[in-house]
Amino acid sequence: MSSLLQELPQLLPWLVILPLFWALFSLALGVLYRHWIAGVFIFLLLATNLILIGQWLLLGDLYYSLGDWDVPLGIQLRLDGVALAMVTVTSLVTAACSLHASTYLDDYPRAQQYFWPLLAFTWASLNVIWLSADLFNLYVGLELLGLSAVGLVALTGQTEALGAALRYLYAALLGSLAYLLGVALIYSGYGQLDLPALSGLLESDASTRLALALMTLGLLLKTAIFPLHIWLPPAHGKALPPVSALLSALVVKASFYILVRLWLEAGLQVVVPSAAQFMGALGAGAVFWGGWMAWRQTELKMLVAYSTVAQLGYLMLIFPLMVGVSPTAAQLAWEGGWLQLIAHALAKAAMFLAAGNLVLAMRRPDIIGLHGVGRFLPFSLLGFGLAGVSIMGLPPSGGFMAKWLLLQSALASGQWWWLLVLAGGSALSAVYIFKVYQQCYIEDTEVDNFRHPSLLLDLSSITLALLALSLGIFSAWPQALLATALSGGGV
Amino acid sequence: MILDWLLAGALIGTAAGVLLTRDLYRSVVLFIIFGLLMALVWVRVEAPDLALAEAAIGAGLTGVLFLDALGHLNPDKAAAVRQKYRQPLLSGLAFLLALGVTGLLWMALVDSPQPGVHLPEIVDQQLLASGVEHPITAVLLSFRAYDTLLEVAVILVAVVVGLALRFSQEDQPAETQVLSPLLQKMLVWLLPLMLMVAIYLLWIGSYRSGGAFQAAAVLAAMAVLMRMSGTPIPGHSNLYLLRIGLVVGLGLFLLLGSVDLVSGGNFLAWPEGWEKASILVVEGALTFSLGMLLFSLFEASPAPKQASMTRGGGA
Amino acid sequence: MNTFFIYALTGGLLSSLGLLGFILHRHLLRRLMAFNLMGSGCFLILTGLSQSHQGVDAVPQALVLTGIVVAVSATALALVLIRRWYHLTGQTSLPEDVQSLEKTSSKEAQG
Repeated sequence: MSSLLQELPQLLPWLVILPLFWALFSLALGVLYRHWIAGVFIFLLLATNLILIGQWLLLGDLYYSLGDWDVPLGIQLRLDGVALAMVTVTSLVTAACSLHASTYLDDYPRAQQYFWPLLAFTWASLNVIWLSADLFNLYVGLELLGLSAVGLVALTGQTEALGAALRYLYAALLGSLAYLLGVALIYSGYGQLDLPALSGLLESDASTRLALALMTLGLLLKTAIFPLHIWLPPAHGKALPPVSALLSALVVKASFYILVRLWLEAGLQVVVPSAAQFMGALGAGAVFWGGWMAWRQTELKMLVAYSTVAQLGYLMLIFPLMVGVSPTAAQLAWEGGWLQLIAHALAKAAMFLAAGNLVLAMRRPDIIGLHGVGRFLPFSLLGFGLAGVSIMGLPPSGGFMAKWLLLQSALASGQWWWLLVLAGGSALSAVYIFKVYQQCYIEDTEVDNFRHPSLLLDLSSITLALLALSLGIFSAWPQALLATALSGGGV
Repeated sequence: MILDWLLAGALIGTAAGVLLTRDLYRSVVLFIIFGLLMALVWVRVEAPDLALAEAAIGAGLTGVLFLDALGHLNPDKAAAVRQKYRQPLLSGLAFLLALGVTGLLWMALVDSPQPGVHLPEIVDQQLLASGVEHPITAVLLSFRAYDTLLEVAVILVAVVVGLALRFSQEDQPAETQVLSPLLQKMLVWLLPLMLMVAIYLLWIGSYRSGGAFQAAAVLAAMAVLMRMSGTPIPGHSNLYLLRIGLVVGLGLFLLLGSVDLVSGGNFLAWPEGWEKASILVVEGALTFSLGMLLFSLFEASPAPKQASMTRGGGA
Repeated sequence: MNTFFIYALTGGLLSSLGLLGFILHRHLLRRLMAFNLMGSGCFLILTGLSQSHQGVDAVPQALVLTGIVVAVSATALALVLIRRWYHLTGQTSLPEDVQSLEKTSSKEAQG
């Protein structure tokens, strides 16, 4: 078995080639065989992913020079522990969203034709970003991701979705230009674009610092970190549920992923603790503002969307908890931060899919319509309920493990003020999630007026929610995976 | 040097004009002039490829897109934008921000360090191995072919969204016959000439400035002219053919890029000994497909007939 | 100061001018033009600044070529959305605050 894995050619580029072929096939064939094509390509991608896990366990980090051109001339792909974790989460979440969409889109015959190619392009661009180590290539990946995501939001062509898509597009365009401006300064100053090669080279002169600041600003805008989050709630709240799930779970994480690579891998000698504290403060603002706004929403999907704003805030704690602290504290923050990203991806995708099912069932978007759901639609509520456990950070979920690690890290580095953010954020999320639960168990009618969603819709949400829960129980494995990236990387 | 300062001043002045002119139509015209000035700037920066691309894509295609969009946003019917600009407070902040960015950028530009790696030398050394003689083509289709592959995907995404929104509500594109009879007659010899220019640009790309993108822009311009003059475009109404045409460029790029990979080599490494042939085939397919894609960017925009303006739409 | 550097400085000015227009204007077409100006400034910095250090360089020129094509795709996509938005609402700008999006759409449903 192990010799077989070693002899297999490196499979890294297939993570990008396969979804691109999928997009082309579904584009050329239109609605014909769309489910078959999706099934085949998802199967191939999951298989590739599995083999890559095996190869990585056996061989360690994988590197791949595209076109056989070495850096700095060519572009390099790399698969370390963090990238592998991201690729795997992407496969799981996108597969579940596809399953959901295959049934859900029956109500949207027109959107169907173009949903699948855009989904495939989104998957391709996500994998491009997880694997790429080249700053300009990451820019192209970000643009591909942004345009596909905007297309997915606008897909229904309805007014609300269009307004949201436009707002999203303009934010994304501004963000990528700021990023590109930074790339321009870096290339002019260092003559190369490869991130691992640049780490250790960067110096803190005015040019490099402005480059990092511009790239950070662009990426924060694309990740929708408070106070640059205005575009996110409508875009995520008004899109079709499988699209919302994909956007909240993965798309915003892509720019955050680049941000972490930039700060903690390439720029570690340049970034200063006060800047890292500022990033943490933005995160704290996101946690409280997002939680407060989520509680104030009357529409179920908008509540879930503001919850994303809040949850993204926790991710930002990785910066103050890692810059200028002891290696132990940094290690804990590193694992906790990535675990939070993964747990949120799984739980939020589950929650958006479940919210979509509930809205479908009650035929209205607002939370008041949930009365009686607990009695008549327990199965649809299950996905939402389980996902809520992880979002609130209750044991034994992945969300709990992540916050527990972040909390330990904050204690280890003596930064008690982040404990307040962790505790206050959890309390706020409990408040807005219990607001939903409460409505579900109000029984003011004896009649079941709900449209019952098909089993497949509920199953795709419950599966993801269960994954988010079990992430906490089996957290040792992902933690080990993430830890290697830290020891192997430049930190 | 004085010429450069003048050109730079003209560029900034035109850009300011684009942003400040009250009349939107004049603003778009200034924007096109800006694109042409940019093409001149690229000549001065010793980037003839960029000059060609900027003139064809930056000024030409983008300008046509803006003019076309402007024609569909009827200014009389638009609910008057009461505020043209943001509120005073926000505007003041924006000014401060822009001023700050200018200052920081100025400092950064002056302070930019000398790079330790000299990529132009490495490009020169490896040029022979790439199979083409023009360094920019070598970067685009050999050293950094991955970027180019993804860039083609980006155009495709834009077209897909255009198609999705166009057909989602059964709008037919408005009949846009705006050319004068004289120009219509000129098309008889203009179109073949443009086709030849496109083929020439494509062929010359492996030696000198030119290549798939510039050639494609010329093809797209041809199609736009034909569309505007009502000249039938072969296979135009056949949606199935259109689809195949759109995907063939990226498809062939992917397929040829994977040949070496499947036979145990590397993704996007062109088969040994066939580097130049592969690049030419990919460029040919790209030209055709990109031409179609760029034209579709123009064509696929939803253009409702005036009568449908009162219809509530899909919401 | 060589020719390349003059244009890098021009690019810097152009970027901040574009940024100003992008934030200041409300009309979606004008903001889109401002975005394109900003993009051009960015491309000028990339090519001009790196060439001012080490002479004519094919790599940034190729990167800018990619950038130009990406920019026109983004512009085309934005125009598609703007037209559809105008068709549905009669507006050429986005509402100032996000919550009023819902008001716009409910008004439009009545009319």
